[in-house]
Amino acid sequence: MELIRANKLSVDDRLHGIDLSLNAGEVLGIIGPNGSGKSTLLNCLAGVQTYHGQIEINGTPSQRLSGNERARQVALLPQTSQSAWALSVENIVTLGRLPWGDEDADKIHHAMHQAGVWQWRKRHIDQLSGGEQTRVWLARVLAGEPQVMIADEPVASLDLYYQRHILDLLKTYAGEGRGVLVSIHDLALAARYCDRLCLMHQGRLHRTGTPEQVLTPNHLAEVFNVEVHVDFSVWPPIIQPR
Amino acid sequence: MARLITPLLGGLLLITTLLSLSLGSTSVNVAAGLLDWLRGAQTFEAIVVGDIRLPRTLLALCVGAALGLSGAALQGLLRNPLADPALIGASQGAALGAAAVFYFGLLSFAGEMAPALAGLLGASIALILMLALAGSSRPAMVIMAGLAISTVSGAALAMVLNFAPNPFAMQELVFWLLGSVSERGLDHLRILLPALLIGSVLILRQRPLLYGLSLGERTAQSLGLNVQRGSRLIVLGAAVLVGSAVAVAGAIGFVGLIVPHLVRPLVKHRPDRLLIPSMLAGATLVLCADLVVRLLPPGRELKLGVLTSLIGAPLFIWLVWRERQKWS
Repeated sequence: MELIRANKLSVDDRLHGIDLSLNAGEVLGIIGPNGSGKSTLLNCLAGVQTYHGQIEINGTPSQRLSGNERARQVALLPQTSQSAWALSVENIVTLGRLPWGDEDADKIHHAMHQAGVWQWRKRHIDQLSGGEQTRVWLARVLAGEPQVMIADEPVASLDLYYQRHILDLLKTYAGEGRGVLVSIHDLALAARYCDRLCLMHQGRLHRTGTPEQVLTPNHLAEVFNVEVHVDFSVWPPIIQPR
Repeated sequence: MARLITPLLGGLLLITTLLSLSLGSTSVNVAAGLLDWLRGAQTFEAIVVGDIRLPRTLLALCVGAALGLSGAALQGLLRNPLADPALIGASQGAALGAAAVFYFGLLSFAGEMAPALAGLLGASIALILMLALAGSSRPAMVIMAGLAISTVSGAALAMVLNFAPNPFAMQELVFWLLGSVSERGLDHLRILLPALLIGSVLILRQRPLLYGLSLGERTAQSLGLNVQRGSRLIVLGAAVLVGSAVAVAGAIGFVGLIVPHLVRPLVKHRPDRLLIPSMLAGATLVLCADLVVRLLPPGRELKLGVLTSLIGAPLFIWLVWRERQKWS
């Protein structure tokens, strides 16, 4: 089942004619160099950026959905988050229920358990470390139970433990019949956790397909201008610049 | 505890209101006075309670509620704990409008209501100019445009004072600007009450937006909130509240700044839950300050706005000090 589809998506000179779709149960990775348009693409799909073209959510053109209807189905985990006020972890996670207009305690508690932040629920967000905060931001998104989760570089600046933890969580979430769109810089992690990849270059989709199809030394050299050693014969796959 | 804050503050406000009705230079039976006044009987108690203390109490209450609510809303919208209603230019605009009435004798058809009406007009014009100048509702632009319009209004106000036709007009103007709820009648409530109602509805309907904005505009938008429209409605609501409060009572400083600060920890820092408690606490604070003004020994009256500034300024210094401790 197709959860989200983009047709000929363009944003001024940042994004040109992007076509992509995300299926239920799938983690779709968006990779590419800095400035290739990954964040712009994700922002368009999350409804926080104006664009030309068409986006369909569960088969309905997004213009026909109200802001709330859209936010119930598609949620965005931005690259960086910060709370202006010293809110408690529980109150941050509660924000995820805003599109539903409720503060459903069961769903909020479930999201906190899923992301492993239950033990900090009474703590202020600014008392937690960067990695711990990322789990709280993720719990906020989980509380809304969106069909599609869009995560913009969720593991940038996280240590190895949290990188694995967060990506495992996203993979499990997608496995429950939902979909996850994630932009990611670490190609080895992308190869390990994503079912399909979109390689972006200068605002266009350069290649789309399974990690094996996309992450070839040739494709990577074309886009990143670096020679890359690729080995899919081992698990997890190795993708290293030479 | 957070759930009890609204009823507790409501109870405190009720007690303060009763105190405000019963305390004064002469002691009268409040209940009997109110009953007589409602019946239209011209007894001494009815005049003291119904015609003197009741308007003053209700005005102080409405002005405080308007300032407390607008401060809480603006701090939430701009995500800045130091945001103040004077910041969006509404206070200075209202002051200029009312001053123009004293100086040019405008709106003479409105009689005693002329300064209040002109104040409301002044605040609205200042707001429209501010929004036009800011172009968007981005916090930084609202603050800059508000500051610019405040400065222009301040300069125009200084000019009006400079060319005051006679010393008495100038004295009247300056005293009015100092802020007070004395010597006003229930007529003024006809401006203040609808403004309080409209402003409150505009702001309270945007509670989800204020909550969502805690994590920034982009996140609020991704949560399905209409950030641009909602922000404009909040600014409009705040301007209606501040404009009418300044128009009726002059400049009563620091209430909009300090009240949300004091209440915030009690509602676990949630900007949406801050609104109604700030309204109640603002009303209580202004009512208490007016009580102090009334209970001071007779002589030249200390203006309410002067007293709130005298209380507010040290609190402000304490806040700055506390912030500094956090960062060092």
